[in-house]
Amino acid sequence: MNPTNNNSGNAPKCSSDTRDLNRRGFLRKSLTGATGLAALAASLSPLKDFDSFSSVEAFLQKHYRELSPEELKDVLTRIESEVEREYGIRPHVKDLKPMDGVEFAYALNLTRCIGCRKCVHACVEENNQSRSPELQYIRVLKMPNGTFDLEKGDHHYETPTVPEEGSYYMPVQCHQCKKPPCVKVCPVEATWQESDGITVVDYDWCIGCRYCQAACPYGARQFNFAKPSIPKEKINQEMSYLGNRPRSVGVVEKCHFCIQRTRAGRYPACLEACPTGARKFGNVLDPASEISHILKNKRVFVLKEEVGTLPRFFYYFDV
Amino acid sequence: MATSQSKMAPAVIWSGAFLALAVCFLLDLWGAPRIPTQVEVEEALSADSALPRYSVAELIELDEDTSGLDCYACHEKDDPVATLRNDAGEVIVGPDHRDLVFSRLNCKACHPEETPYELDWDDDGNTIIPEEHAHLTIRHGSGGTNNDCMICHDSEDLTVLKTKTGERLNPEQSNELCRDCHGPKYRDWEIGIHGRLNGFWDQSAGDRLKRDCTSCHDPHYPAFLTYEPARGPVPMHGSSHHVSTETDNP
Repeated sequence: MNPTNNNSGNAPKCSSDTRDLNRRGFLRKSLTGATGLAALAASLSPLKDFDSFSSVEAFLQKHYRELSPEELKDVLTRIESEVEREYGIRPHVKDLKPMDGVEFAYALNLTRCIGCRKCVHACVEENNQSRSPELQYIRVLKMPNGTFDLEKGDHHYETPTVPEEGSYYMPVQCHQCKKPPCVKVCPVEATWQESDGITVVDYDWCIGCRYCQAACPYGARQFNFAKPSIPKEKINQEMSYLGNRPRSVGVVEKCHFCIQRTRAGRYPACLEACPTGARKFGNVLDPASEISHILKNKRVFVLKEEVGTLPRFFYYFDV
Repeated sequence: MATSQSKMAPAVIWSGAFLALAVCFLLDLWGAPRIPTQVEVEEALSADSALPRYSVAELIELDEDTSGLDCYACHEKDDPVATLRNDAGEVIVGPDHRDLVFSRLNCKACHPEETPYELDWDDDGNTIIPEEHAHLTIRHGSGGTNNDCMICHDSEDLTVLKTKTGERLNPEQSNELCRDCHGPKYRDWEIGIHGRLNGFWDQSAGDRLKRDCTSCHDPHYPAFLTYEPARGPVPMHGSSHHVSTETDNP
């Protein structure tokens, strides 16, 4: 009862009184309390990596299709400054709209593909994909001659030279389906099909449930399990909102036919890098385009026709 | 004492629980994705659209040295040239022609600047051609029937090409010569289906860059050489498939 009792060494007697603090009781309580607080802090520490929302504006941002032109402009500026803060380079983030009378399609000549994987890495460079962990939109399957059984395909081949006798090579990427199952399953409408046929993802709206990844019959969608890392000097500054702007952890991404290039009239990066000219791309609504000619005159086929996705990505053999 | 301990119990339990949680996070017990330590960044050689070689027309346009293409620097104009063949009937190519072929290769298309290549010369000043590029016997077509120089070159004037119909063409018009035998391919090339097209699909936005036949194909050996493939994907979690490194190769 009396503070002086603390010094008497008669601890048991005093500790029964809660209002009283003797040295041992105080030490015990404060030690337990401090340990508890430290443990609480440590157990909450993963939250410090929670940086999905860099700012209030990012948190309050509307869905891409509900943004007014002014709001969109603000969003693009915000993304530019975010990228600048992280990578030290001011990018040009644009939002190119689909063009009237344009529907894209892709054709790939399997006779010409030699499996050199140049398209894969051209795509990674163009689209600011994470280098570590590595994320790639194009998967080049090495297939034994005489079969279309995809289970026999191997995309990890590491042969000293390509092409190898007895094999053909089949690059697979997003097929930009006319009936995309990935769009159907998205619970938050973070992915949709644009009028030029490109299925896009709003990375700011994606909740990372990965339903779309499971729904895609072509394995075209990739998930950012970890924070993407891109070397500063490898950043492609020409960016687009629905295209190659840097993504954050926990969102899904996929091939978008290089939207930042193709909506400006250019060929996609994979086509530009192909050394054999196996890749052909263009506007299918223009009867004079090379893609229209291929669809009219070559024996094209699509992958997994039976699943009814109506891909805009065609394969053909042409000796 | 007993009351005090019972009052302390919840605090101890909570502390213990949080401590355990902290240890779990620290040891990453429920498998947050582990990133492979460092994935090698693939160099940009894959990404550029450079050509493996230059056609004569491109050499002229780029203002490159075309002196090697002047046949009469070495050959006598009045002395007709005959095709030399070995016992197996293969055309023998003189070492001088090797340099000529080699000078039209665009080395940088495959060798990035970060990994320099070194050329060697022999005593006569000719380039010593690395084994990878030593495909210098003539093989145009698989049957061997096209391996006569004079099928394409004019025997009277080596600097011009001669079509089957006797039309004489400059070397930069070689596409017209190829058309003579490869009609369907030429048709596809004209439309833009065969061969590389770079630049713009939308021709109101920019130009489509079409290449010559000999920008990709060596006319003396038109089949494509084999390439070393760029490396494959690195799986996020450990896997039996892994990046082949120097140590993996014997």
